[in-house]
Amino acid sequence: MNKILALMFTGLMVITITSCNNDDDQPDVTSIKGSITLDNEATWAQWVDSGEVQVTLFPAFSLNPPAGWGEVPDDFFGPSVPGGLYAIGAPFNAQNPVVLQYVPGQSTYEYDIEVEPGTYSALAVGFRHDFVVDPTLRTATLGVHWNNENQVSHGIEIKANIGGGNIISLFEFPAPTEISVSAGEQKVINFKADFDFVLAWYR
Amino acid sequence: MFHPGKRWCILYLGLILTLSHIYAQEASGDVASMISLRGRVMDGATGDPISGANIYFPVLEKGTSTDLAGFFRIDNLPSGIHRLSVTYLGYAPWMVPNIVLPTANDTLIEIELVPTTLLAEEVIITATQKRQSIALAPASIEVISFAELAERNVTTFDQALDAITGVQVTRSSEANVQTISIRGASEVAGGGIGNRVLLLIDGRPALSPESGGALWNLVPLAAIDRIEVVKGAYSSLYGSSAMGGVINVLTKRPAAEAETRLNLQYGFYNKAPSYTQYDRFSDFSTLEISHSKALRNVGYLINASRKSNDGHREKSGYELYNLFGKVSYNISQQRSIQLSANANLIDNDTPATWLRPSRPYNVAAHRRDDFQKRNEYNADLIYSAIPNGRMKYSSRLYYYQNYSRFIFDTDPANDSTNVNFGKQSVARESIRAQRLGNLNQYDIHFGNSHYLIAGTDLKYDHILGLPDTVLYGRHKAISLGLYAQDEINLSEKVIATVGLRYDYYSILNEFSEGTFSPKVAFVYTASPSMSLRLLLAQAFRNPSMAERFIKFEQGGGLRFQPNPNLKAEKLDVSLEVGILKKIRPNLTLDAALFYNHYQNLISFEQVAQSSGALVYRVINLNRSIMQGAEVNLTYAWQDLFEAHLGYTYLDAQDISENRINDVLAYKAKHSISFGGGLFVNKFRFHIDGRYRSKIEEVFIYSGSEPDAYFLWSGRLSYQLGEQHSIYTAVENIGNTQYEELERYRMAGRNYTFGLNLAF
Repeated sequence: MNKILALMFTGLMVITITSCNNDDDQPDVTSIKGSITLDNEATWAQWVDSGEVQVTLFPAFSLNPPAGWGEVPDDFFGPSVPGGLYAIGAPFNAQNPVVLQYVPGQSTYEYDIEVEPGTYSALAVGFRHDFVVDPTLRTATLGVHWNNENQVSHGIEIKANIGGGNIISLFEFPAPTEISVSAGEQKVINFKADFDFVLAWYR
Repeated sequence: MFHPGKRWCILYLGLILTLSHIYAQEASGDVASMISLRGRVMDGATGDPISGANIYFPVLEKGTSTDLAGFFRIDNLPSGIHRLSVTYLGYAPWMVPNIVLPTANDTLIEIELVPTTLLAEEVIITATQKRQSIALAPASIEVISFAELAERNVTTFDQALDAITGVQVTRSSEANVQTISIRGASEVAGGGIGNRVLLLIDGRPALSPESGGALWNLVPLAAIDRIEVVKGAYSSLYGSSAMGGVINVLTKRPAAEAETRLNLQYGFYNKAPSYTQYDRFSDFSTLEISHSKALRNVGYLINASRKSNDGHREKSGYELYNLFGKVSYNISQQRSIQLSANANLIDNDTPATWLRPSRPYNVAAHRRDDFQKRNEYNADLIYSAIPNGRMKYSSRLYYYQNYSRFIFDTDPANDSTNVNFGKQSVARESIRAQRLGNLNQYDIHFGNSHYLIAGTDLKYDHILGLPDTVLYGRHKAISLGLYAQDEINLSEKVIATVGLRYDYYSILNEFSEGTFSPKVAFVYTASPSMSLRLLLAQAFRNPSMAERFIKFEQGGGLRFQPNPNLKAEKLDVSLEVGILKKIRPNLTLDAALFYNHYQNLISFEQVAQSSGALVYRVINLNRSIMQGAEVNLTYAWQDLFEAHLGYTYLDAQDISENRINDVLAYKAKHSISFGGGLFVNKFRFHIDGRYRSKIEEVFIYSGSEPDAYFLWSGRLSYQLGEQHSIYTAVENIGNTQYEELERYRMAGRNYTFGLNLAF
């Protein structure tokens, strides 16, 4: 009986000792940072009270489950529904997007996003309208990171079925560039955006 | 105009009245004999009659069994001194070596059997709505007794289920259980939506009328007598939602002796890892008091509790007040009535996903003042009668009212609940859900070969979700279930159970649908120590109001297109084969293979939008399979040691068109649970552990799939006399940093100290 009692208390001591280990390893995180050069920043001055400019990063693209930013084939969302190029899932930094604060006369803005090592489908800057209820129109993509950091791409291709089997493109821009980040790597990505896109998006 | 709902109502009432009239007469049972013995066998703890108990005179080789009212009669007995044994599973045998048979005719003796908890002789009622041994039940079953709960550190009901093999609890915070899944059945979609496990409290359905989620908070933890977990498709008895299984919480009956219990508990969380930069001290406490007494024909039980928890991270705290009461009155030996009522007042944080991977204990600033207030009430009136030895009747009327208010930040920078695709469009929401239900059941015993039950199950729901631009507005629904089941003793070794249930569901003036749920099961008792079982059944779930009518995610986030014509999802093939074997007197093995094929699975679909914004609709989309194997071992050595080990393998795949090797979201392929207790002198030491493999697919935050985790906890208690005890417990001893749901960091190590007093 005493042996069992001793065993029990040994077990308790093991628990106590293991309980002394307080700290866990930090998760493997690194960052993507850089600068965004904004064309037509003067237009922002007119829109500054209507919403926020946010920098968001999208996870790897997947159709099932829907995730990330990428090419959606025709008929994927149903018969005769045209595909396109856009985000079909939540941003990686959905709860803490980088919000750029308007500074009169400033056209270059810095950003820094904490990420986990892995592959991301798009890095984008968008204007999110406070007063637009329809979520399909809420965010206008001002620019994405793509192969040319000196030119603007909005990274989307939006098509519409106008009947009779005719499909037209409302917007068509080069796709965002996929980003791969390895452990410990500090990625620096600069890209361009154009605020005037809100005029086309909310027209 | 004659409304179709009224016609159903009149038909239903007519059926009840007719059946009640047929079975309302009591049997006189008056058979003359020169020397006969009559008696009644009852539960010594509760005074309830025990049906099916064996009465046997071994020397005379004469015997019989008790009827549904617990009565027996043996004629043509010689007077004198004889040996008598009375046995029934779940009770200690009653042996009298020298009973003096009465010389007068028709003398009545009363025998009280004492419940026992011998291994592998546990008795359950949920699998067939009839008291039976687990070995004879056509399902995988696990039972958690009050004594087992007392050995573990359980402060909320969901924690009680963590030790059950094949049960997966998914939480977003301490008070917010997203779902409880049996063998992968349930979806994880927030608010309990997609729940495919039926929660019963004392046999009464306890699902939220608006979301179909289980009302876990209504379970009065300290008043639990036992929890029966039945795995498998059971819509043939219980109707909608019993696809993955049934969890039946049976509360205590009023004790014969006056009893007062006081439970005090205080605990605190370990400091969060330093990299999280979260250094808030958080604690939790419980105060629980219960009193129970029986006076002649009246018994009562009252239980009050207060639970408070700061939450281990931001937006995970809560404060809960619960009052539970039960009064029972025995009108006569054959008739009783019972009223129970429950009230909950809950203030809790609205859980939110983490800020970022290196700050998993924090949430975005705009989420910090989102919270919920919930008032939940229910009452349940049960009348039961045993008109004669072959028949039993019970009827219950129950009512739920749940009122939930969600208060969001009115700051225009506030965000949606999960996804940053829309700013907060509402500051407040409320849901008022009422349900009025009536259950009637008849049990009829046809000789020794048939045990027939038949019943009706009627529900009326009234839902109001405001504002209706975001939630679902006002809807009324009615459902009627008719069921019958026959348990047939095909031979001494084979029991067959066949059952069929029809459910009619109608959202008034909007939608109606009927569903059949058949079942056939066999149990073969190969030897006294081994039984084999087979269950083949169909099951279904009616979509909830939330799934049909929701317009925006809570708080105005994701947009949904309502789909009022959503059909019931079906489990069109559910097959289980299993074995229960007593390898040694103290070692029991339960193993099962299961295959479930779902059709019209209710799922979320992204709807085409020209801009590519996220808009969803709930649809009947997928065909899927969930198949696997489960093994459970239990061991006990005298009263000193007990242990259990369980493993579940689950293969859950979407097999709809164009899907290849597509796993279903939030399903863990491997899960293990184990536990053990060591009881020496006045010390009791208990360890529990569980492992869950990595979640391969999630729904919202792809790329943030929760990793595999292993948790273990310990509890040491010391008896202070027979009635009192003190204890200390450590949960998550390894301080594992883990998530059950993506981006919701769960609690690390935490310590609890408690005192249990009984008077």
